[in-house]
Amino acid sequence: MPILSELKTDVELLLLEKALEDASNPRHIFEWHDYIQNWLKPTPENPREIAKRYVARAKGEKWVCEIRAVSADKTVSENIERIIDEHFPKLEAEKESALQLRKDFNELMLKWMDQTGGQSSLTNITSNINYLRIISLGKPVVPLIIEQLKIQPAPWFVALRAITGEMNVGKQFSGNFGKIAQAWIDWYNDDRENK
Amino acid sequence: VRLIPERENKWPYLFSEGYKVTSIETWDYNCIAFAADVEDEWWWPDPDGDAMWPIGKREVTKECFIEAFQFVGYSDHETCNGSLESGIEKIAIYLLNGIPTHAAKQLPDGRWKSKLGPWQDIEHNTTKAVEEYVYGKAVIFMKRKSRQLRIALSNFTPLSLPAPRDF
Repeated sequence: MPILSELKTDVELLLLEKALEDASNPRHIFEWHDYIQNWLKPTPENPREIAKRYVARAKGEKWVCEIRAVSADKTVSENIERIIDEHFPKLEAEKESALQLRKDFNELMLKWMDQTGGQSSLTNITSNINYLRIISLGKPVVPLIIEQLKIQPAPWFVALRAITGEMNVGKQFSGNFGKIAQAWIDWYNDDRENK
Repeated sequence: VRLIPERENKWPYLFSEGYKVTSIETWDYNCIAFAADVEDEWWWPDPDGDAMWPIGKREVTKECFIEAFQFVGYSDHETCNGSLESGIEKIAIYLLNGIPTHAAKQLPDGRWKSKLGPWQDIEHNTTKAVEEYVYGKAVIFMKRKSRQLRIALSNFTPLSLPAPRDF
């Protein structure tokens, strides 16, 4: 992996970390996670490398396919882009698909919120056609729903149960959408760590 | 303070009847909880139990809503109306096609307060102000003694009467 060694300097690592930190569109977390894990494979006698590895792992929460757009440093962006092209040839197609999914999700969500806004009826809110269409998008929308739960605790819980099959998350917090939302966020984070 | 036009326009009588926004928007509570003076829970009889419901029966029927409000001290749904009565708190339950959709609570000055789903709280001059849209009409009214009166009565100790005399 010649390009890896090109990037493997402290300065570029820090810039890469910065780029990842700035990112806001979590995608391909696992690919990048494995990739960086190999890249930063620690040597037991080198605690600095171990520390970097853990920093990279922590930042994994925020890794993206749009790194090139968010990195302020063009050299790093271009290097990353080359790495993407070389090691993840499917990424472009996947990115297109991910962007389309996000667009569809956002459109449906806005319609859902507009059509059910002002209503108290959970029955109406969670049976709205746009909400049901979001459920029909399946597991790929789970990260997008979790993103929304971090912004506001809207009742995405029926959708999450329907998509994931997890029936008991947050059940003990009946009536408190904030706590139910946090339980789903915790479940999502645990689920990813266990994979 | 008014709602943004896209929201205000959902209720055809809102502006003409008079209202003002009194809170920020939040998913912390809804109109049903708000009418029961609860501001940290979403109340709805959803079968999955995501929402809080004060009684065991969970049905979106007017009977179930009446029982829920009876549980928190309201009564007289058959005779109560929306007029202002001294020392009395009232709630209004809105129905659309016979299905409960919304609840409002009367303020001490005769106006009403509502939480608009996850949107803001408002104070409105009449129950009509939030009729139509998906709320339908204010059909059921219930009442209970006001909080001050309930406290006063709970502290009231009746004077002891002399024992009945034997004749």
